Amino acid sequence: MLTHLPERLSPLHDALEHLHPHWGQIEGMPVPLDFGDPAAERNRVQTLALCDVSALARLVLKGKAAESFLKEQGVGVPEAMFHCLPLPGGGLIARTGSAEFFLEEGLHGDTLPQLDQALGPGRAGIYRVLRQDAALLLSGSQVVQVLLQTCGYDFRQADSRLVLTRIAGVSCAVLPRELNGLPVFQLWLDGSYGMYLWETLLPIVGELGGGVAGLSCFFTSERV
Amino acid sequence: MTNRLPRQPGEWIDRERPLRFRFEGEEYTGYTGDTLSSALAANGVRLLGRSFKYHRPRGIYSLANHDCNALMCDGHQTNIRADVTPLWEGADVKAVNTVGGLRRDRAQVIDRLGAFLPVGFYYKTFHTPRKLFPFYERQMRAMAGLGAINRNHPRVRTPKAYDFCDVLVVGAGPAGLAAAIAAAEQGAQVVLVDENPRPGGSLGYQWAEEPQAAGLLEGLLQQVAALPNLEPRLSTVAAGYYADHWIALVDARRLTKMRARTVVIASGCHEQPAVFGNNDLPGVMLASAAQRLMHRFAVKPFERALVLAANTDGYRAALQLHRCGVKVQAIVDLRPGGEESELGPQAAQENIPIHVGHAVTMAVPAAGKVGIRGAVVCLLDAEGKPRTDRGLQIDCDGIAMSVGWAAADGLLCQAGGRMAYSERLAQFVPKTLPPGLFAAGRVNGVFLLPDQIADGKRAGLQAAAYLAKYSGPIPPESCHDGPPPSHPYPIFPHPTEKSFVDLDEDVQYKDLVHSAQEGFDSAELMKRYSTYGMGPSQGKIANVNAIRILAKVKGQTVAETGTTTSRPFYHPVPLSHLAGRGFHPHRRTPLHSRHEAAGAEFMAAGEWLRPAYYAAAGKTREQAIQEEVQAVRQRAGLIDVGTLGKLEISGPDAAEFIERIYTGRFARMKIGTSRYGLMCDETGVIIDDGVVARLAEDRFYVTTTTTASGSVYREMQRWALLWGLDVVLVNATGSYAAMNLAGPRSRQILADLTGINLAEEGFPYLGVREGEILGIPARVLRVGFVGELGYEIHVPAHSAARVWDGLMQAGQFCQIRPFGVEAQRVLRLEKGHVIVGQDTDGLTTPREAHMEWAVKADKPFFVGQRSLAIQGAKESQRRLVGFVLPQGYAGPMPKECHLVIENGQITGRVTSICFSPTLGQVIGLAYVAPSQAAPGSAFQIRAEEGAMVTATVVEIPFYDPKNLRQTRTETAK
Repeated sequence: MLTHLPERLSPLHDALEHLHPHWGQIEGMPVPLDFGDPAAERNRVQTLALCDVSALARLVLKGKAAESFLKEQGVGVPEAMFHCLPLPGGGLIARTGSAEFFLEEGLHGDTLPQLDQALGPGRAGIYRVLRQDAALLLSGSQVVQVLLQTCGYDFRQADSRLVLTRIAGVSCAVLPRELNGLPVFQLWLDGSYGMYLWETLLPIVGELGGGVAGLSCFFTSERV
Repeated sequence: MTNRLPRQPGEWIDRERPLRFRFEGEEYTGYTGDTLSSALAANGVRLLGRSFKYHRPRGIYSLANHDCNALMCDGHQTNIRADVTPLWEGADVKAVNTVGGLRRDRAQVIDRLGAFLPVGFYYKTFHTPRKLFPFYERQMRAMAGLGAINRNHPRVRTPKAYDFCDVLVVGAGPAGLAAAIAAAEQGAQVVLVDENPRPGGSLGYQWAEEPQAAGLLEGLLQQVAALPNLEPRLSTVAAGYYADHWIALVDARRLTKMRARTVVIASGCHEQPAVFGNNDLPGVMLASAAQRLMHRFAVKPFERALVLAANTDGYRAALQLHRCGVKVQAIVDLRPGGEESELGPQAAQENIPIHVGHAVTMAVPAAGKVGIRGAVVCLLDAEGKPRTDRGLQIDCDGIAMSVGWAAADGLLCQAGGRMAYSERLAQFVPKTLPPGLFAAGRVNGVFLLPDQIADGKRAGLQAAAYLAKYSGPIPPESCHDGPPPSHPYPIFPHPTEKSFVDLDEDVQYKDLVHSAQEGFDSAELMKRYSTYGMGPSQGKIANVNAIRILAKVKGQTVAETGTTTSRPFYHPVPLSHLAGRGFHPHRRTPLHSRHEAAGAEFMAAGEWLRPAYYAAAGKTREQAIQEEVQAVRQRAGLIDVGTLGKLEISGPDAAEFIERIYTGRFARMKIGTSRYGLMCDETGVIIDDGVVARLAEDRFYVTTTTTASGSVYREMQRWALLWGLDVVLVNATGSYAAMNLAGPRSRQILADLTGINLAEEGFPYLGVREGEILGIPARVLRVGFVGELGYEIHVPAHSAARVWDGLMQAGQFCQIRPFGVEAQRVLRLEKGHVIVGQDTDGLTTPREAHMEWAVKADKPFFVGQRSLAIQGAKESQRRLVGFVLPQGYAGPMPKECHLVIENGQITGRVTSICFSPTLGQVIGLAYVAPSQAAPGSAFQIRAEEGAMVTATVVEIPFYDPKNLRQTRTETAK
C-alpha cells in the first residue's frame, strides 16, 4: 500500500519538481542529480550555484554524556565551540554547544547508523534530537555577493567555523567548507523556512548570473 | 551650446559623445558627463524651476544637491535632482511645480500674494471650521511644490546589501584622499566614498587653476590606484549614520549597509549664501556653483558677473571667472579691510573694480524675474548695516556669492559628535567625537590646501592606530591659519523685496524674525514653525544663516543659540532604496503542496501559512467551512496542525521543571499519558497553553500555540537557567509535522496504517503512544480539541506527505475531508475550548478565563502562583462565559471584539462567535461583568452601527458536555 510515495521529501521538493530534474535518491528522498544540462551546471558551480542537500542524514546529540559517548565510539570531537571536524565518508561533526554536537552524514559514511545502534533506546545523559533541516549549498566565486545581499555577517572574513546568523531574515547555520574540491557555503535552516529561503535566494543568484545545480556537481556516488 | 567653454583641464564631459534631450518641450544637446542642469546652462537656459510656495523663478544655485531649485520629472520619476543627475540620451523632462509650464506658470501670481501668506498662516487659518479641514488638506497637498507621484510607476526592487570595511572615509576631496591613503598604507581595508562621479572634491573646481592642484590630484589618485586595499566608491552618498559605525551608503542602484570598524569624515563644507533682496532669482548663485560649471562642465556661468565676497575664495572665483571670459563687473567685499592675500592685488591688476566694505542689498530682476540685470550695492556702516543713501547699481547678469562655509557635519552629529561654534572661523567645528570617528579637512575647520592634506593624513593614521594597525607618531591636528573663511553675518534683508534664507521652503528673513517674535525662539521651535531646514535639502544652505538671525533677534551669540538636531537621512533617499528587496520570512508546513492541491485558501498565522478552508466548487466560503465541520462531526476530517510549537523537555529534572512551568499537576503523570497545560507569567496572566505528554520518566513532549513556540521556548530556557535544573530543552517545532485525524471514523482510518493498539482500553483518551504509521516513526496523542474522537499524529517533517497521503487514501471509504483553521475554530467553540490570544488578552488570568480547573494552587510552586493568590483574594472584574443568540436569530450579527454594554457602560467584549451548524444557532464566548455571568442571564452586545443584540449566558461546552464523543467506539467500516 502506498509504496509509490517516497518515504521522505525535501522541504524544497515542490520547487525542485517544477524545474524537472533528473532524479536520484538518498535515504528514501528524491534528489535532483541535475536539471538537464550537467555540463553547464558543472561550470555554474564555479561561478554561482544553489543546490539542495536536505537529503543528507543528520543528528544532534545533547547532554552531559554526549561528548564521552562520541569519543567512545571513535568519533573525533571538536574541542572549541562552532569548530568542525570531518566524519568518515564526507560528513562532518560540529560542536554547537558545550554539550551539544551536530552531525551530518556524508554520502559515503555510515557513522550515524552506528551511533544510533550504539545508543539503542537511550542512555543516561544523552538526548537524540531529530533534525529535519532544509540544507543548501552555495558555491562559486560570486557567493559572497549573495550573502552580502542577504546577511549582516561578513563571510569574507569567515574561517572554517560554523556561523549562526540570519539570512534573509531566517536563522541559519552557515559553514564555509570544501566539498569535492569546491569551496562552498553550506546552510542549514528550519525546514519550514526552506521554500521561502529558496525562493528568496534563487532570484538573487539568477541576477548575479548563477542558477541551480544538481547534486552530481558536488557528489559522485553509487549511493545516489 | 552657446555657453560652452573651450576644453577645460579636468572637465567631466566627453565631447565625443553628445546627447540629445528635451526640457519643457524644447530640444537641446549636451554631452555625456553633463548633468541636466549643466547641459541646460550650456544651452543658455537659466530658468530651471519654480519655488515651493511662491512659484518664483529659480535656476542653478549650488549645483551640488544643496538646494532643490531644479527638481524635474520625466513622466516616470518625480523630483529628479537636475543639478546632479547625469544627462541621458533622449531625456524628456519638465519642471515639477508649475501650472501651465515653467515659463508661463500661472501659479506665479502667488508671489504677489506673499504679504497675505506669512509664516504660520496655515496653522492659524486652516483648523476651523473643522469639517472643512479635508478640503483644506486636499488643496494644500495639491499646491505643495514637490511634484506629483506617478502612481503607475513600476515597483523597483533594489538589491540592498551589507558591506564591511576597516576604515570608511567619507569624502574624496583632498583631505579624504589623504586620509584614505594613509590608512590603507598601514594595511587597513579602506572604502572611500564620494557623492560625485569623480574624486578630487574642491581640487577639481575651487583649486582647479592653482598650479599645484592638478599635480596634487593626479598624485593622490595614482597612490589610490596603487593600493589594492583601498576601494573608491564614487556617486555614492553616505546618507545616514547609525550605531556602531553603521553607515547607509546610497548609490544609483542600492542602499548598502556599511559596517565600518572606524570612520573618517572628510565631507567638507557647504558654501553658504548671503541674504539680500531677490537673492533667489536665476543668475544668483554660490561662487562654488559657478566654479563647478566652469571647471567640471566647461560652462560659462554669466556674461557679466558681480562677485560678492567675504573671503579669499571669492577673489579666487572672481579671477577664475575673469579667465573664463566672464566680464567681472565688480568684487563687492563685505569686509572693511578687504582681501589680505595676493589675490587682492591680482584682481586689481586685472582691472576688476573692488568695493571694500560694501554689500549687495538687492538683485535687480530682469523682466519676468527669470534672471537679473543688476545689483544694488551699498556701503556698510561701522555696525555692518548697509547705508542705502550710499548705494549704487551695477549692471550684471549674475551674482556669485562667496561669503562663507558651513561644515557638512550631519554625519558627525548623527554619530554622536558634538559641534561647537568657532567665532574665529564663524563656523561650527567638531568639539568631541565618539571613539572610532575622526574628522578631517574643511569639516574640521581646516581650509588651506596643504593643511587639508596634512589633516587628512593625520586622521587616516589615527584611524589605523585605532585599529592597532599603526603605532607610530600621530601628527598634530591642523588648525586654520589664515583670514576667516566665513563672514559672521552676511545678511542684508531688503525692506520690500523678498530676502530668502531657505530656498527649499521659501522661508524669508522676515519669516524667521516673526517666528522668534511669536515665541518660537529656539532653533528647534523656529525650524518647526517656519519650516526652514525641513525641505529636501535639509537646511544645508539655510541652517547657519537662520541660527545667526535667531541669535541676533535674541541678542545672543551663535554658540549660545545652538543648532538643530541632525537625523538620518542627510540626503533624500529614494523610497525604493529604503524598501529594497523585501525579506518577509514565512513558514510552510511540509504539507503545503497537499493543501494547495486540495484548493486551500491560506491565511497567515504568525509566520506560518495555514489553510483557512478548502474551497469547493459551487460553494461559498461559509458553506465550505460548514461542510468541513460536518465531516468531522459525522465522519472524519484531517487538519494540518504542524504549526503548533513542539518542545522536547528531557533530563532528570524534566518533571520538576514542567511542574514549575505549568499551572497544573504533572510530576506524577504516568508514562504514555498527556494533560492540558496552562502557562502563566509571573503576574499570573495566561501566556500560552498546550498538551504535555510524558514519553518516559525523564522525557516530555509539549505543544504550544502556533505563534508562541519561539517565545515559550525562550522563556523555558530562561527559567531552566535561573532554576539551575538538569533539563535539556529542544525546540522541535520545524522538525515534526503534525496532523489531527478527528471524527467518529478516525480510529478505523488509522487502524489500517499502524501497528499501535488503538483499542479504547489500550489507547484511551489523553493517551500518548510512540510507534510507526506507514513505516514512519510517529508520536500519536489522543486529544480532543475539536470535541471528537481524534488522534494528533506527529511525524518527522520530511515524511509528513507520505503519512498525510496515506490517511487521506485510507479515509476515502468515509469521504474524509481536510479541514482548515476556520472549521477548527467552529468545532472548538462548540466544545467551549479557549484559544489563548483570542479568548484571552495581555491581562487575562485563569479565573477570568473560567479556567480555574487548570490551576492547582496547592502545588509547592509554579510561575505566577503568588500573583494568582493575591488576585484570588480580590473580586474579579470580568468573567469569560459562553453565550447563545436565540434560535433562528436573523438580526445584526455581533462580531469578535464587539462590546458588552450594561447601563451604558462597557462591561466586556465578545472574543469568539460563530454560527454552529451542529447546534443550529449562534454561539460565542464573551467577557462580561461577574454580575452578568450566571447561566440564563441576558446581556447586551453592541453590534455594528450601534444595534443592541441580546445574548443569553449558557454553560460551556455547548456540545457533548459529557465528553462521550471522545470515547465512542466504531469498528466496522
